[in-house]
Amino acid sequence: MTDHRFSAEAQALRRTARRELWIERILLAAAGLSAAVVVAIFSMLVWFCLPLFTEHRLGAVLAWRWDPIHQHFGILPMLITSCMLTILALCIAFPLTIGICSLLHGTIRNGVLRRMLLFLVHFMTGIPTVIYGFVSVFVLVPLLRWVFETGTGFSLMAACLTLSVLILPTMVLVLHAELDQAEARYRLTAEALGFSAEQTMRSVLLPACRRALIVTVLLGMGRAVGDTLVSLMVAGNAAQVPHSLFDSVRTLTAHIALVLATDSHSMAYQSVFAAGLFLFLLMSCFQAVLRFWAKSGASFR
Amino acid sequence: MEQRMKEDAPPDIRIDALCVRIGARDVLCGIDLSLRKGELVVVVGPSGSGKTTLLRAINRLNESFPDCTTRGSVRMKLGDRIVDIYGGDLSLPEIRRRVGMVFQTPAILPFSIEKNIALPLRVALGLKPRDIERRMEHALLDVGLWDEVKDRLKSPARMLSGGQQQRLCLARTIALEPDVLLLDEPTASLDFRAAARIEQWMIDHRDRYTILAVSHSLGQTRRMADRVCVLKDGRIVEMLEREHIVDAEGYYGRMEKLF
Amino acid sequence: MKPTVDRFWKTVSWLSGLIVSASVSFLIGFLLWKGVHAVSPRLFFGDTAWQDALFGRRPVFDGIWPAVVGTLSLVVFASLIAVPIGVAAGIYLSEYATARQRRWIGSLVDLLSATPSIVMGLFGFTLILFLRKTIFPNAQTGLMLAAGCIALIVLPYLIATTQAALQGIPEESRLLGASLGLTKWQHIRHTLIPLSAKGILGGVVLAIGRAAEDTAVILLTGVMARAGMPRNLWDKFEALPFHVYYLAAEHRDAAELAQGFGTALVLLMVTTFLFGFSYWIEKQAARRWNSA
Repeated sequence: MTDHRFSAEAQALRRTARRELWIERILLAAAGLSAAVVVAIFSMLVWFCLPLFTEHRLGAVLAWRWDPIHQHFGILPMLITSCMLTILALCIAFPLTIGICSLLHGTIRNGVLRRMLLFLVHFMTGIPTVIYGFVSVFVLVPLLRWVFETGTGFSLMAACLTLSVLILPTMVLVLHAELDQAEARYRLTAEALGFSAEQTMRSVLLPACRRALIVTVLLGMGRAVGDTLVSLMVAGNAAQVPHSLFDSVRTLTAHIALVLATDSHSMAYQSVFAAGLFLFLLMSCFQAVLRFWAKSGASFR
Repeated sequence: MEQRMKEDAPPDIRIDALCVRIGARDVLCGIDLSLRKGELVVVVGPSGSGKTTLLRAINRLNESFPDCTTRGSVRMKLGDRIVDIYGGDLSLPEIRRRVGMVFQTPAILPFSIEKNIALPLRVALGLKPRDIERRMEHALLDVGLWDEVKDRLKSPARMLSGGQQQRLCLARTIALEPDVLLLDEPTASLDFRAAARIEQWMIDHRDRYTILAVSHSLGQTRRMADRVCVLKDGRIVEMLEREHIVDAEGYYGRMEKLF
Repeated sequence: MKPTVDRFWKTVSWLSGLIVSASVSFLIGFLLWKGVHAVSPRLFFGDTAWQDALFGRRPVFDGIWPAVVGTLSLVVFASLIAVPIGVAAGIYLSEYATARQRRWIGSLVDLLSATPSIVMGLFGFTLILFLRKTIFPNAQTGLMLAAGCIALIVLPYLIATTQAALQGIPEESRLLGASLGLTKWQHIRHTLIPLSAKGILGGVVLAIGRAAEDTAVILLTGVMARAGMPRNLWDKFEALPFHVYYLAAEHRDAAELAQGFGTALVLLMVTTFLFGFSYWIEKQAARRWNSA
């Protein structure tokens, strides 16, 4: 009798253990699959770019003219545009970010204005990119056309203004979270030393968040480089190197969208994959630097 | 004779009927206290009795916390005029420059040793670099830290030991050249030797500043204090003069009864 | 005291706040002004009666109902794919993974989150190219492909929020479950997941919002301007954000422009609702911890 009960219990335990093992395997599969996806994407990009290297056509793609009808497939103008647009958008968005955070942690620290501003910023994160582009097309572009009287208004300037508003809320929220932490640690000390709210923000909190500032910039850059719709809708999409803020330009992201929608020439396709690979590598670099900063920052806490 | 002369001099700080209410609770009630330069007053009491709140009422740091109302008056002698701290004659930053505070745990800023002292001088007082250097050296010499840090002024302040950090905070506060010093259990997080140094410093400087300190240690209080103020449930239940403190048995006996 | 520096700083901060507040308020106000009178049953169903449209009896020509259905289908299918995988992966990374696994898988998932959405669309497009060359010569871009690619875009969000929600459970609650003698999975299923459910749900809602607004991916994986209702899972489809983009560039008359504003407004309301809902859930979860 004892033997019989013993083996039934043992069987049940073994079943549970087996089931636990399978559950762990399934979860691991899910995690592994998630990790494998990005490897697949990278492989795909490299695979389709291989002909460029094996058949020595890299030069054709790293050229300055894009004119498929005349067999020019250079993507360098788009590359330059992407870089310029990102930097310009950051030049607008970063000071605005610092300004808004100074407001939130300095002058309007207490009170209803702070909550309203925070709510507004949170709300902005929920606005779809295509909506920013849409409003720009019907407001900003005509405005630029009317004020500056050059071109159609679809320009680098329109794209950079719209893009800066797009990347702003994420940057503000990231910096704001860090400043909140710094505030909890240093506000009382600074106030006891006779600092005003603005002085505390400027001289104590911001310097204490130096790392977070870099993270903020990197995040903003990442979002700006990866964006497609804004430049597709308002930058004009002419494949040329920008010589002025009012030139019609095309970014790498918009290029991919436009080429795949229209052209079917294989070299045009290959330029697209080169663009895609470049974007992927650029974003990976940003990500790697971000991770590095985050880790070294944590070790100092 | 000298003692009586001191008592006749007008107080440097005079607290009348001070009541501080935080949230729904009256943390301090009906506090009357006079402080003078040359007389080290130590506040003791069980935890939650309002000692820190009393200190913070003098540099108005309570107002950094939400839901705080203060009634009563705190009058300070500045030069030859008397100013009501709550009266609006002085701005909050100005008050805090004249009334320095040292916290329980060393509240260093995340910068270098040099910048910890130089920053308030530059930002809050607007001093020029030469004056800043002079004051910094003075302050560090005063607290006995100069020799230990003069070669590494630019290294981060968090590399210092606890005792050194607390002395740095003290140096930072006195570099602002305040009239009053509020010390909230300054030796609570320090080892025996570091604590003794700060104690001695307080004793040596009681003629220079009006000092009000909170202490967690009855022994320390007995060593330092000229007057002891016992706080319980937000009220002053006892004020002990020097003669009652010196007598050990009587002192500890009374303390036990009060706590 | 440097009053000029102080004043400059103050002016700049106020200006920043004003510029941003004004821009966003203007944006919303403009959309409302131009779009609110366009939001009507006519916007959705054109000339077709709504009962016929809803039950698919008659096609809708001039309305955005197909786009609504398209976006809805995308969101549903993308969630069906991404949520189980993402939550499972998040559970694994939080509870089962070794430090080494966490570092590697974590880095790769981070890389996935850094992939621009247009590159993801490119990936989906090339999948079709592959299929065409190998097993499916008639492969076409379509709804399921787009949903799959969107699922990949939102996967990192889900993994991250699930991980964070589980990691955020305080030590006492964790030890409680373990001390009751539960096996690992029982402990996760019956203790940890209910405790982190709100956080995970917040992540799911966030993912849904992201899926609803995406345009770049669907551009390359099968969205069309006038596809009508998707006949099956592999068919071309319409979508709200693409409709907005398309009308901005290619509207032929004032009526179509008005439709564009109406669509933009509808899309904005949908995403606002979703993000607001996710934010609210987050606040609820946070409040739980503060009171606990």
